[in-house]
Amino acid sequence: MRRIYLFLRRVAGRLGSVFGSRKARALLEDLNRFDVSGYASRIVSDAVLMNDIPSPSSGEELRMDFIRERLDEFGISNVFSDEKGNTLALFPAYGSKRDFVLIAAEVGDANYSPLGNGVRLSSSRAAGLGLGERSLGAAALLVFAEFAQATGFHLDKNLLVLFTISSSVDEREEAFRHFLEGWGDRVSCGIIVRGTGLGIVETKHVGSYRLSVGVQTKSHEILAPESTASAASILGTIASQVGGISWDEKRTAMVNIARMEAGTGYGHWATQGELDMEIVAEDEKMLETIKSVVTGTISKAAVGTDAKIETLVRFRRSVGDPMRNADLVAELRSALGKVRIKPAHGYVSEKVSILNESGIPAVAVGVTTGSSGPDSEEIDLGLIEQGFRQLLMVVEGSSKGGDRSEN
Amino acid sequence: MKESSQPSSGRSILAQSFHSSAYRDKKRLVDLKREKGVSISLAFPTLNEEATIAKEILVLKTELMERFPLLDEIAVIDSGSNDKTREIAKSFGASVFVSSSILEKRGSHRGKGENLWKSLYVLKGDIIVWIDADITNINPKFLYGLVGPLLENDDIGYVKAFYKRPIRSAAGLASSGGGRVTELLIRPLFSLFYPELAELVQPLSGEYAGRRSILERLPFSVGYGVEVGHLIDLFHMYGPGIIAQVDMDERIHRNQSIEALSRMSFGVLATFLDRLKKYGEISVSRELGMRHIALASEDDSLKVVPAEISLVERPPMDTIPEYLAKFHSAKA
Repeated sequence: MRRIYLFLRRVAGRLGSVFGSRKARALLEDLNRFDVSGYASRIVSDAVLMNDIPSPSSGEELRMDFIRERLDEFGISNVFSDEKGNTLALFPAYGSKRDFVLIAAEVGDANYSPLGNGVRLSSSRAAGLGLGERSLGAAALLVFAEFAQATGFHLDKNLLVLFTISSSVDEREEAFRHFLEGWGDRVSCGIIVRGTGLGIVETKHVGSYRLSVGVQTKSHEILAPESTASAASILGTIASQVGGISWDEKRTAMVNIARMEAGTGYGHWATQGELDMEIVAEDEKMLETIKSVVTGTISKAAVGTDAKIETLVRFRRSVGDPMRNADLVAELRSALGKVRIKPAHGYVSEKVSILNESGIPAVAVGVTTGSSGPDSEEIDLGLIEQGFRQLLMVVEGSSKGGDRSEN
Repeated sequence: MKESSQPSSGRSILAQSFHSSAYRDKKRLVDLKREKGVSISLAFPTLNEEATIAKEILVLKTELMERFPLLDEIAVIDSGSNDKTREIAKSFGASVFVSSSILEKRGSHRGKGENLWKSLYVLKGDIIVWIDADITNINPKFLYGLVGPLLENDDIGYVKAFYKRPIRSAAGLASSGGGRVTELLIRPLFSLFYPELAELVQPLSGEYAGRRSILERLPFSVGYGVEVGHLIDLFHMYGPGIIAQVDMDERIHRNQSIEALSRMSFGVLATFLDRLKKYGEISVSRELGMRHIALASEDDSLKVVPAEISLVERPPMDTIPEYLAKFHSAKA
């Protein structure tokens, strides 16, 4: 698929550079003044509709069907899907560049509920579980594709619009990694579109491990002096030992106990238990050190008992390379300045780290601001127009420069 | 479209039952609309709907006015909300009318049917769509599903929506429970008097569309009986073949208390009996009660709680001079 597309793209790019670029050039000359107000309401409307679609479904097919139908309605013909559920739309460059600018958004919501996800709108805010974090980013990317198709927003590099499975549904990021295996060598940079987080410039790098610990004992604990340790007490010991350590002076490295279940009544036998934890650190060496200490502590917890303990690394995210993203971060800062949004520092998001691991500079771009709690999530409607304009500017800015092979 | 004095024996309503997905190609509908040279108007009858009206307007306006120009106008016909319904509707781009200010000389009554009747005067379209304003899972299919059959088939004049009706309650989302008045009152009555109309899945659904040329000839009950009155009048004037129904999958809406449903049943039944009398299908030998009687307990005893349910009928709009002057200047 990729090879055929790349050949056709070269032909289209040459034709486009001769015949079709005038409109696009005029648009690019003054992105700051281009009227995008109509697109803001389309973003909200699509987010409302997407938030109503049940999730997760196999390969997120229900929400991906909505996206593919939309892309078809916009008249975008270069649309592909893969076996992991990714949906891609390709926009050829006007020119001979071979590389792609990747613009990606997540699709899927592991916490979907038909009542909570129903969106309520007022004149200035929209509220609904999953709206900002799980639907608005994908809706903004859909409308970006609509905008690119309608206005001829074709750049010096090819654009690759990717809808991939959300990390809330695909914890190991298998779909996104699968996409990178096929296309990573042609992606010169990545822009992750997020619903909220407008103004957040992700400069704080962070790495993480997610570990699952399974414990199985031969007998369950009884209140007698000679009784053996139960799964619950072994997990409790592990949690108190690794959770109480100060790893660095700034206290930025930490071990979070995310979930612990043991004993009868939680879907386990009395002799079984599970513990999920996350290790977070801003330094690669520190991350590995903590992981080593934690796994050692876990192994020791079984010594002297009849328990069997298994530790599974469910996810690893490298700390990444802060300097790799510097140019894109500068583009984002510049765009935020033009749309008069004050920047703030934030931690690098997962997909940015994964792109960095593949040697691809990346940045996350928020569409609006919002707030979220366990039972509510709200977004600001008034900032979406600025957020969308900022996205266009970052995409335009990131398409400049040579192909990866030229660097 | 021909008017018949007898119900047509040809097309049944079941044979004219469609799924909204059959009309999901919005470009095709826009082309059909242009080809036929018709305009389409949408009205929401409202009373204190600030929680849901913005979402309904935003989604339908964005999708079916801006992206796909199927719809020509969106209006809210408000019964005098004391919340922010009108202000919000206006800010999201709908034309907002207060029902009592429309055709002021004709007076004003409280009720959804009154708003629908008056909407005929202020809306401009050849095809009129009415959608209840309390839908929480609004989707463009609620509109294109209703207008699709009207654009595709000139013999269809009136289209009703039907759906699964999970209802919101304190306990969450129940999979059934909607349509109780239909199943306990209307379906038995239709089975007795109009078996052809019993083929409607949800005769009382609040989402329907029709051609102005037909709607302007129908009287409107101002209260709960407006839908059942329309169906019986259409049956007698054109036969069941004029009616189609479209499956919208699922509609999530507010649950109503049994007391509210009882009052609704009173209004619907009063209109039903009125139509039976009008068409000579029953004779009523004594005057019927004009108030709904409920019972409430108070200090270990029961007391009667009467409620006024509006049973007023508005005449067909094509008999109103102001309307004729606006839409049929030659006749006026």
